[in-house]
Order: sequence, then structure tokens, then C-alpha cells
Amino acid sequence: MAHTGSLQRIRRIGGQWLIAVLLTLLSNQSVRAQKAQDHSALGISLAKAGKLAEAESELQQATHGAPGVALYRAQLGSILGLEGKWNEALASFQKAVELAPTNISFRRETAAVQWQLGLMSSAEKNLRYVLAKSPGDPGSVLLLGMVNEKLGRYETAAGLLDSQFDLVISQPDRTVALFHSLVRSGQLSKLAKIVDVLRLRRNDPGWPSAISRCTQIAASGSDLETAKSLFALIPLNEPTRPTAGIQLATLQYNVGQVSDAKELLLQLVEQGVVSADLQLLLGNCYETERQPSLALQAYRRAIEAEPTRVDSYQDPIALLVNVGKSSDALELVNHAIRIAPDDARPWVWKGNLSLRKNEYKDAIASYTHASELDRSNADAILGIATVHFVAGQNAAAINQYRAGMVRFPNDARFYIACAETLLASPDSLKLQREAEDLLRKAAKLNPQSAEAHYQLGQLALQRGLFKEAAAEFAQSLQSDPNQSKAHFAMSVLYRRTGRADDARHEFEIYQRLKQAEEGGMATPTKGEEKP
Amino acid sequence: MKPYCILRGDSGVGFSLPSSSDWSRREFLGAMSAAGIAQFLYPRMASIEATAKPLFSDVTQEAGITWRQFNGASPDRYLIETMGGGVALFDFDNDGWLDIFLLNGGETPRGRSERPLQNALYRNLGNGKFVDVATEAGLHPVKNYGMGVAVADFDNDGHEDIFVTGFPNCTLYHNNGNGTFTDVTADAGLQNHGRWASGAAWFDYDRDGFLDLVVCNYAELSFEGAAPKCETLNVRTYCEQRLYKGMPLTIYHNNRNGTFTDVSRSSGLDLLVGRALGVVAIDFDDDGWPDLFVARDASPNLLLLNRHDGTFADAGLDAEIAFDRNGNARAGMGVDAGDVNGDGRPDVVVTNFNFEFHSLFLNRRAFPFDDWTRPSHLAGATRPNVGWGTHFLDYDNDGLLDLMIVNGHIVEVIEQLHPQVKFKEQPLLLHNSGNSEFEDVSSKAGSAFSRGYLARGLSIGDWDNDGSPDAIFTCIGDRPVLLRNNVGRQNSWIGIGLVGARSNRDAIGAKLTLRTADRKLVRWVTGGGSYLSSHDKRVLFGLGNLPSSHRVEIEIVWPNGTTQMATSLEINRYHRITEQAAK
Repeated sequence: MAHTGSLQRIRRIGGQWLIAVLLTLLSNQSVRAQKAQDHSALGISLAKAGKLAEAESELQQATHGAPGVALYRAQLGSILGLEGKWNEALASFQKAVELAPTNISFRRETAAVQWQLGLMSSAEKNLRYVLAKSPGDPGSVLLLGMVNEKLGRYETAAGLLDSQFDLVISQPDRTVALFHSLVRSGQLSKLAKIVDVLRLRRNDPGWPSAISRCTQIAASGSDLETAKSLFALIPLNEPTRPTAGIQLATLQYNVGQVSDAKELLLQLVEQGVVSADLQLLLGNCYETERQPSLALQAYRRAIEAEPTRVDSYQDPIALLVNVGKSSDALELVNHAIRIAPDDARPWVWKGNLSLRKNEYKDAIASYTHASELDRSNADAILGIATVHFVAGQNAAAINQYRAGMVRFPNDARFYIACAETLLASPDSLKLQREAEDLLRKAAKLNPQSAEAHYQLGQLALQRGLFKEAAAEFAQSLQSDPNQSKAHFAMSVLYRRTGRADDARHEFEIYQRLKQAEEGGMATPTKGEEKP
Repeated sequence: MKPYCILRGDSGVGFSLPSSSDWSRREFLGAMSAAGIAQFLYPRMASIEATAKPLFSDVTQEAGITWRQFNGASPDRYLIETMGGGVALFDFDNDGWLDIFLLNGGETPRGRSERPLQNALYRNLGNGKFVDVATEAGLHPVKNYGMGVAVADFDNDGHEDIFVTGFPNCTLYHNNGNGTFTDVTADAGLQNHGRWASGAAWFDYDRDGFLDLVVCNYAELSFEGAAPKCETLNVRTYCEQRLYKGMPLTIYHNNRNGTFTDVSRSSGLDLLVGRALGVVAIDFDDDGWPDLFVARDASPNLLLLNRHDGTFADAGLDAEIAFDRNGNARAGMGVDAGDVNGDGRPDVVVTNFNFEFHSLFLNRRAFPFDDWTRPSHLAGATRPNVGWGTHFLDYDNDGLLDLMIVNGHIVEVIEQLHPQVKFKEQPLLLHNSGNSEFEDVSSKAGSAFSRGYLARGLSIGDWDNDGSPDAIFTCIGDRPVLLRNNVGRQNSWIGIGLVGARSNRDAIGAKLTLRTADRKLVRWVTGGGSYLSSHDKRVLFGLGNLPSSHRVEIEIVWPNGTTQMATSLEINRYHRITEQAAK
């Protein structure tokens, strides 16, 4: 029985071979695993030493050697993130999560990269998973707050970030996110503590730009005092300081603190800031202060700063027209057309100029061309309608306004202008209902429309509905306190209701504003030039 | 002509009948018609008469009016060149017929006349013809740039005197009673020196029986140096009025001795600075004291209520007549007052610029006045017009006051800007259809209403004494237009000429109330009114189809406050009523 023994021997040899192979394999695997671990360890230490490229190489080898180890994928993702290779980092982290789906750290880090890449929904999903497993996890709460801030859910974001205040204020970006969320959710009373933090950190690296951003956020949220406090903290050498300053000045200008705005802008100029936005705002300040020459100089500097920027031409053109320098205005308009021949706006300005000079045919031609260049330009259509109105062709004006309402259904100006034309007509008594409907629509589209509320107030006043009239006029004045006619209307209202002192007061305001309107930069009308 | 019945306080009666040669063909046919003959014998002729005649006829040529206004038009375009045009209908020689005084403009530095400039005084010959007697009367010389005319008997001597406004001085001509006038400006103290005066009105503000005078001053003006230069569509035009700085009113108190005292300061009127043009004096608040409404150009209109102490309070804001609803002062030029809606209170019309609408304000018992411009349809009728002279008149004698307005632009190239606005504009005749509404009947009013003019002054008066109000209006740089009313006499009427005894002789400020079975008609003898013009002071009441046999009574409230009843008055004739002596 010799072959039985041979079979057994073969089996023994095969088994031993298999075992040997297995042992070899295991040994090899162990060697690979060890090598991968070594690469990982080396990569981490290189990363800590700041040698990110080499660290990445090591971790790439680690993941290559041990592809099933989620940790190495995560480590690689981190290093790629440090290198700013966000997409690759995301791929790596996603692989780590795939390999270890219940690992909340991996999920958190993945969410962080997703936040970085703007994939907020995905980030939010991962964070909600983490927080479900580990409620109150500070990092996740913080990151979820950042995600909500990006998604515009400011109240939620503010709550989440504020709950991790210490973590937030350890980094500028997080601090800005909290600040932004508080401003946008109207929680201005909570800003003080952030301002205090920023004050302490004003000279720390990375923080001046955060202070600058917070200044801009406060300004855009109309929190003037906070914006001023923060602006004062921005070091002079912070590159974004001018932007913050201009935004602050814009807010000051908008709330009527024109001389403060002007002062700030001039300081920035002194500090060497060259900016078209700055000069344009400075020009607006001079105009408001009835200093047209200085305004024009500022506007010219704005144009010099950015010669191809078309919107820089609008204010100086309007000012030149107002001071009766139509020829200069025309020159600027033509210049704007030359630099931007396919831009509708200069053609609208040309139309405005022609209208001012009573050259109605030319005005219509310019507005029409503007409309052809840009069908979305509502000003062009409004301009055509205005020509008809000024020329006394009310029916044509109304037709044009109605066409404008169809084409631009959300532009309140068409409704207002149409209503005004109806009310100016000899048959206005029959057209009041229609005019009122249009004005209510306009007020709905633009609740801040001073004109819509003013006209509604007039209608109410004519009907003897004094309370309603008062409310409408008040709302109108809230939007534009410098309307002489609204103050006049209030004086009429008060006089009719027996409030003589109030009537007198409003009339005095009306007289002052009217004088400024007519005398400030008024010039002969009907295309007349000053001698 | 109807017999003219003169009533005196002692009930003495006298008559004055014209000779048959005074009768016109029209009057002959009218008499035949009244006798019921014309329709039977001349049915076709009667019907032609009834249907072919326009409401008014332009009789300028046949009347012999050849005078032309000279406005000194120049390349400098001084605004005054386009603003003049004073005219008056008044009886300067007390012959019972209204005569016409036409005030010339004047020269400007570069607007010279080839011939000497003259005013015109057209004497009414009573037969539809007029002859210019200005030279004989001493009214011919143009001493200043002429603007307006205000006629009244300032010294109560029974003869109508003439006050002429202008730049740089005003002039007072005293009627000597013999067909001549004397310039008494210096003695009277009425030069208003250095000012550009426009409208003026005689009225007795202190009710002392002597007429005082309010003078509107328009703006600062000088022919020295360069005129402001303005252009429209590259054509030199008259500058907007806002470039001219306004002036205060001047008010003179009549000292009863041929002199006047400037009481502008003590009256408070010197504080009211603006560009005043038209003025009418009437008792707005029915307290027996005359008030003033002043139309001002791009300045707030004034409603000056007499405070009985030599001062006035401006109630323009309370009355809501000063501004439009947006607080803009419109271009108020002409103004008149009369009871449009039959409630016994004087309402007001003011002429404005194109697209502003001429305004109609209804006087309610309490402030504010009602802006009735749109409900009356005046807005629709006047939208494209620049209005000047305006006057209420009951042209068809139906008892409701109608309205005549004359228009004319100032910008030669206006039609290139606004096709529906004309440079030369047509006058308007608006018929009061009741309920305070007006209907534009200009298309039926005659050829004069279908032609365009640069019209300015408008004077209303019954110059042919047929009981229906006629008119004359002036035109810049052109002949005036004399209109004869063809329809008023188809209805019944009564005319009253008042003679004050304790009140001012012209009875300016008197209020007359006539009651019939179904209505009450209230009229006033006003001072001023229209634009730069002076009117027939007799008061006409239209009585509709009241039978000729009917008698009426009229209550007269004299300017000094006393009341007098004139009873059993025959209609379809004029009556002269003298103020009763104190009892």
C-alpha cells in the first residue's frame, strides 16, 4: 500500500505548503501593515513638522499599503485639507466614512471639508449623524452653526455658535460667522461681547481682517455705533480697512450724517486710498451739502480711478444736468457710450439729457436704443413713458406704463408713475379707484416707496379720511424725510383737523425744504443755460 | 336802446330816450320780434337771425378799432415784453356809453418803435363805432412801459379817473370832466417808483367813502446791464418767472384830498413778497368789509381778509388756494370773483400755465375753499392753455354766471415741445350749465374763438347797452379784439348802476341781491378783476325767461354797510340807483 502513503505525503506537503503560503502571506500582510503603519506614523510627524507634501506622500503610501484602514484615509484627508486640496480631501474622508461609517470623528471631519467646499446639505447630514450619536459634541455643534450661517439660517446659526462661544472666539472666521449671524437675526444686543473680544485681539495675526469684516457686516446691518467702534479697532495697515471705511461712510451718509461720512472719506484719501467707490460717495456727500464743484471733482477722480466702470458716470452726468451744464454732461455721456457701446445705461442717460433739454424725439430714440440693448432695463421704458407724460401726451404715457407693468411686473415705479399720470389728468376723479389700486400694488412691491405712500395719503386726504392720510404720509416721510410736498400735505392735514401749531411746524419744514429744492442747485428749466 | 330809468333817492324819475337814428338794424328787428311781427312777416329772416348768429361777433374792424399794442420785443427778451395789455371799458364822458381805454406797452433798449407810441381812448359813438380821442384827452403819451389799467372815481367828483401801472412808474390821470385828463401822479403820491407794477384795484378798505388803491408789483426788473439769457430748443426765449425776484404789494390810503399815503408797511402787505399779477377786491367772508384775492405767478396766491383796522390777514393757507396739493405755487395770472353756484358767496377763478389747469375755488362758509377745477370741467377745458384775462359774465342772461378766458403762450417754440399746446391760443367761453359745472361752448362763440392770439387783458362791459355783456381783449403786439354779445338779449335782464353818496361814488364793494320766485342772485361791484383790466361797473342780472312785465326788487348793501331796498324795478332796462341819504 505504497500509493496511500504517497497521497498522504502529498496532502501533508500541500497542507504544509498552504500553511507556509498562508504564513508567508500573513507575514507579508503583517509586514505591509507594519509598513503602512510606519508610513502613517512618519506622515503624521512630517505633517506636524509642516512638511505637508512629504506627509501626503507617506499617507498615500499608507493607504496604498493598507487600503482597508479607514484611519489612514482620514489622516490623508486631513493632510490634503491642510494643503488646501479640498476635493481630494473630501474623497479621502468619504472613503474613510465608507470604511468606518459609525466613526463620528471621520464624519465630523468630512463635514468640515464639505463646509469648506460649500456642500452645506451634505455637511449638515453628517453633523446631524454625529450629534445624534454624541449630543452636544462641541466641534460638531460649532460646525453646524457655521453651516447654518452659510445657509442663511441666522437665528439657528447664532444659537449654535453662541453656545460654543469659547470655541468660536478662538478663531477669526468663526467669530465673524457668529457676528454675522447675530446681526442678520437682529440680536444686536449680543454684539458687545464680540466687540470686546475683537478689541483684545486687534493686533493678533489674522484678526484685523476679521474686525474689518465685522465692521462691514455691522454697517450693512445699519448698526452705526458698532460699526464705528469696530472701525476704530482696525489697524491702519490692514488691507481691507478702506473697504470697511467706505461701507461705514455709506451708512453714515444714508442716515444723514453726511459731514461725518465726508470726514471719514477724506481721512481715507489722506491715507492714500484710491477708490472709485470712495470718490463716488464723497461726491454724493458734496452734492448733498450743495457743493457741486467739489462733487464734480470727486466724480472725476472716481472716473480716473476706474475709467471703464460705467456706473461711475451716472452721478456726475446727473449733477452736470442739474447745474445747467448740459454740454459737459453730454460729453460725459458720449464718453460712457464710447467705452461701453453695448451698455444700455449710457443710452438711458443720454435719453434723460435729451428729455431735460426738451428734445423729445432724441430722448425717445436713446431710450429705445437702450431698451434694444438690454430688454431688462426698465429705466429705458420708464424714460419713454416719461417723455410722453412731459410732452403732455398722457394717453401715450399711460399705455407705456401699462406695457412696463406687464414686462416688469415687480417694478413698483411703473405702477406709481401710471397712477400719478391718471391723477394728473383732468378726469382724475373718475380714475381715482384705478390709481389707488396701482398705488397699493406699488406699496406692496416696495413698502419703502415714499411716493406710493404719499399719493395714497393724498387720496385719503381728499376723501376726508384723516387718520389714514396721516399714516400714509408718516410712512412716506419715514422713507424720505426730505420731501417738501409730504410736509406740505401734513400741514394741510393738521390745519384741517384744527392742529394749528403742528400745521405751522410742518409748513416751516416744507418751506425750508422747498427753498433748498428750488434754490440749491436749481437752474432755468426748459434747456436753459446759466449766463 | 331801452329807455334808461334814473331813480334818485327822492323818488324823482327822469327818462332819456334816444332818437330813432340811434337805432341799429339789429335793434329794429329786435323790436319787431318783440312785437310779434317779425316771425309772421319775415319768418325766414327771424329764423336766420336765430340760428346763424354766433354767440359773439368780432366787430373790431367795423367799430373802427385800429390801434395796435407795441411791446418792445427785442433780442434781449425782457419778460415785461410779453406781459402787458391793459384795457378798460368805462364811460369817461358820462354820456351813457362805455368807452375803451387801451394802454400801450413800451420800448426796451433794443426794442424801439419807428413811430411815437400812443395809448388809445376810443370814444363810443353809440352806433357801434368808436373814435380815438386819446390825444385830445391828454392820455396819448406813453410815459412808462405800460402794464395795467384801474378805473374809478377816486375823488368822488362824478368822473371816472384812470390809474395806469407799469415800469418804472405808475400814473394817475384825473378826469377833468370836460373830455380831458390831467396827470396828477406826483401830487397824489402814486408813482410807485422803481417798481414793475402789474394789476391794480380800487377798493375802500377802511369804508370811509373814498377809494383806496392796491397795486400788484411783479418782480425786480432793470433795463440796465444784460438781460438773463434763456433758451428753449436753442432759441432765445423769455426766461422762467422764477428767475425774477418777486416784490411786495403796494397799498395806498386815499387821504380824501387828492393825495394818497403809502400804507404798505402799516397794513402788513409789504411783508408779502411774491410775483403779483391779478387782483380782485370783494367781500369774501361777508362781513361787510372788502377783501382781496391776489393771483401770483409761481408765488403763493393770497387771500387777504380785511381785519377792519387797516391791516389784512392772509388766509391763503386756510382757504387752500395758495398752492396746489403738492405745495407748488402755480402761475397765477388773472383772477375774478363771482357767485358761480348761487349760494350767495363769491367764488374765485384763477388762470394758470399750460398743464396746470385754470383753477376754480368754491367759497364755502368755512375754510377751506373747495378746489372745483376738475368737477367743474374747467380742468379739461383749460389743460393746454396759458390763461390771462378772465371774467365771470352771464352772457346768455340765464341767471348763471358763465366764464370767459383769454389765453396765449410766451414761448415761441412751444408747439415743438408740446404739440397740443399752441403759441397763439384761442379764447374760451364756458357756459355755466348748473351744479357748478361748465361746458365749453367756444365752438359756438364766434370766429374770434376759433383763432389763436397772444391775448392778455380782458375787459367785460355792455358797450352797446343792450343788456348783454360784451367784451374786449388785448393782444401782445397786435390789435385788440372787440366782441359784441349777440344772445344775451334773448333772455330777460336788469342792469343796475349804483351811485354812492356816503359810500364811494362808484359803489365799489356793494353787494346786490335779487330774489325771484325760484332763485336768489347775488352780484357785487368789484374792484379790479381779470388781468390788468378794468370793467363796466354796472351790474347785470340775467333773468332767463322772466316776462317783461315782471317787476323785481333788489337789496343793496352799500360799501359803508347800510342796506337799501330798490323795489318794483322794471326789467330789461338799466336803472341808476343812488345811495339814500342818512336818516
